[in-house]
Amino acid sequence: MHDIAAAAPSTQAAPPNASSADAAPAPAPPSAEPFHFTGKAGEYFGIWIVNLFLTIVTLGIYSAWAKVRKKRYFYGNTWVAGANFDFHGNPVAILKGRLLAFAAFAAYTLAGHYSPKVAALIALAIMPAVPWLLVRSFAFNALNSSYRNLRFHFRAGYADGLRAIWPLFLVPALVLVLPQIEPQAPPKEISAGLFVAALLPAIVLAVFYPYVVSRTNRLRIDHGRYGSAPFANSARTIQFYGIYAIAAILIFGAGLAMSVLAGVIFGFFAKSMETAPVLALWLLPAVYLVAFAVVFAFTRSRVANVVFNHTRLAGRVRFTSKLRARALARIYITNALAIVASVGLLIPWAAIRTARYRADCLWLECSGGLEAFAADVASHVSATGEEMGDMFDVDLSL
Amino acid sequence: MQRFEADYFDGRSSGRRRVEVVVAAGRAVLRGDGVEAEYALEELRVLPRLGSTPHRIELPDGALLVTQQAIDHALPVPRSSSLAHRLETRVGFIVLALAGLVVAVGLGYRYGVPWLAREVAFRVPAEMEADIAREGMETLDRHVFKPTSLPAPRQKELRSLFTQLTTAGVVPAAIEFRDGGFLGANAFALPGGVVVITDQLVALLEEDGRIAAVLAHEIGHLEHRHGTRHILQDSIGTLVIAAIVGDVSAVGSLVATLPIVLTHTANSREFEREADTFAYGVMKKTGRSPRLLGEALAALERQSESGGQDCPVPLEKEEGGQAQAEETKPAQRPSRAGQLGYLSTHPATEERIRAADEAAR
Repeated sequence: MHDIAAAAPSTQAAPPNASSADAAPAPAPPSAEPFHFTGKAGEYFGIWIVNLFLTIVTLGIYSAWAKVRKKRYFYGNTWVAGANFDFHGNPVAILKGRLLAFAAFAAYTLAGHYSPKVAALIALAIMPAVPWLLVRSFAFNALNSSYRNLRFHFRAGYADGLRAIWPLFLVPALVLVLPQIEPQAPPKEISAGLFVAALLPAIVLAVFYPYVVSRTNRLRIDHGRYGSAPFANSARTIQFYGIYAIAAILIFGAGLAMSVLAGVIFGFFAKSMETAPVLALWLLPAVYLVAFAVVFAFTRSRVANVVFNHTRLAGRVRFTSKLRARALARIYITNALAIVASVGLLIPWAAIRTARYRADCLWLECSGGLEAFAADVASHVSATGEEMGDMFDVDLSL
Repeated sequence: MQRFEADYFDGRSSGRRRVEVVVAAGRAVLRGDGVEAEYALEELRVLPRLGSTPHRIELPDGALLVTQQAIDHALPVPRSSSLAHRLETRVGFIVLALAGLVVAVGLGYRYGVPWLAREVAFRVPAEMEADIAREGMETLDRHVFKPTSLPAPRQKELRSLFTQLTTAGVVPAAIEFRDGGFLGANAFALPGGVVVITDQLVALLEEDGRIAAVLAHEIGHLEHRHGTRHILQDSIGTLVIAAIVGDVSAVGSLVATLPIVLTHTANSREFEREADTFAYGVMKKTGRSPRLLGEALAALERQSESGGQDCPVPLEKEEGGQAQAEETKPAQRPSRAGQLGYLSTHPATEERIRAADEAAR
């Protein structure tokens, strides 16, 4: 642990790389500016516990303020090329977004208790707003982020949002159209036709999911700007299909491993019915946790790498992301174990080390230096511009 | 006179310039790297600090000063804006918040959530509960139960016994007879007012007094709306946990559902005790001894010890709102007292028998 206040007489000196991380980051590409994360677990613990305490005491109202402080802490401790980021979000906008999301979620889950058709109807009712919410939420986060006193921007319309996520509309539509197996009253015999009909929405979701991830990332970057400089992303959708194909194989393998393990446990210990269930009770969740972490880390790291490595800013800044699935999985698993062992008190530590690893794997290369970017004159909102003044500012990333 | 060095960002470009700020006589003078500016101190806005991230000072023309140096003596840092920062960095308050959090979560779980669930549960319309019960019954009939083989006169006897017991209560309730299938000797209370008793349990308990005790216990579950309260308590708990672990990965959240499983079983035990207490009252009111409940439990316990294999959930008296769902929850599976004791949903049988004896005195 180092102290950036002591290490740097001024912010000029970039904070030294805090790579005491568990996984050594990949070597830097030549002439690249590394990202650093300088957050400290001990310091963040104080912020986290106060956030949590005030959130519970205020019955959740403070959570919006807590989120802003958390984001400011993580942005403010993320450095590149001698400067850090800042977040300017207005907690009231976040509170509005949370109340909205909570109401929708409550309606959906309540309906889900009764019938999938009613739940699908509610989802269909909310769906028309989703492209708009997506775009607003990207805009909220971009406009409220700054680097070197220049804000990021995001401008896209409803149609852009719709083009990215339209396959998601197919799923509830199919649930409504096709005959369904009611969980409350499953039929005695399931015909092959009914089986396929019931599975079709899930299959459609699986087939289109990589497309949606690809297009959503594309939307976020292609319509984003830093000051007046446009971002552009050239990742191809087929690359996302590659990632999720491997993830599907991993999931299948994990499922196979778990069934084999269950078979072995109950086969070997069949005589002692005392130990087999206990063994299964502890071993199977452990395997499940590891498999979950591996798949999650794999898709997380690969998607981030593909997105960053194909992103350009104004044609002259390029990014290099070298996240490794194995290192990330190790971090996720040890995080989970540490959180359980500490009854949750190590959550801040887990969040900090994950952020540090992610920053340590990211570089940017810039021909011509980072000094020459200009503010967007058309919609000049400097980092000091206090009010965004938009009544419809919502933030949906819970 | 105070001076400090800072990075200067003009807000029009991403260029960074290093300046020296001299604060004297109510004014701040910026100089260096082509910057020459002077402001009155009240024009500067020092942003609230966060951890050891650098100080940020907004200038009236849209420019920004960023410095890691101590400026607290040079510039007026508004006290109200840094309240959160002061709390977050003071060890005393952190310890206090931690203790307060433990107390708040503990009390919330012990009293707050159960109270809220109870308040809501008693406001749930009866028709809605009846819907849940009907669907639950249909599922059980399809997958578990077989039609009863109790002779009609015996059914009639037990029905009138049940009516005696329910007139002592408030909630209208009906009784259903079924062959328990693989659930064996068992009794259930479905929210909305249906009590199911299996043929196997009728045979096992032999005497009407004991059967009455078990039925009274199930009516207790209905009176206290335990099924609906269970669903509500679990949902509220999940929301609280989601708020706490909001900033860790999905893997962390997965692990964090563990407390829900554990508190779910603790709540179950609480509910069993409530239903037992209700049963003692009904038994006394109808001129029977609460001891009979103890006898019934002892009979169930004996049976589970001798022939546990063919009767996997012998002591499980499902109070469940969603009987069909609760049946498969792993936490409820291992219900043999002693083994995996902390996961057991029912208080130890001996303890309940003792309580019944005490109530009889």
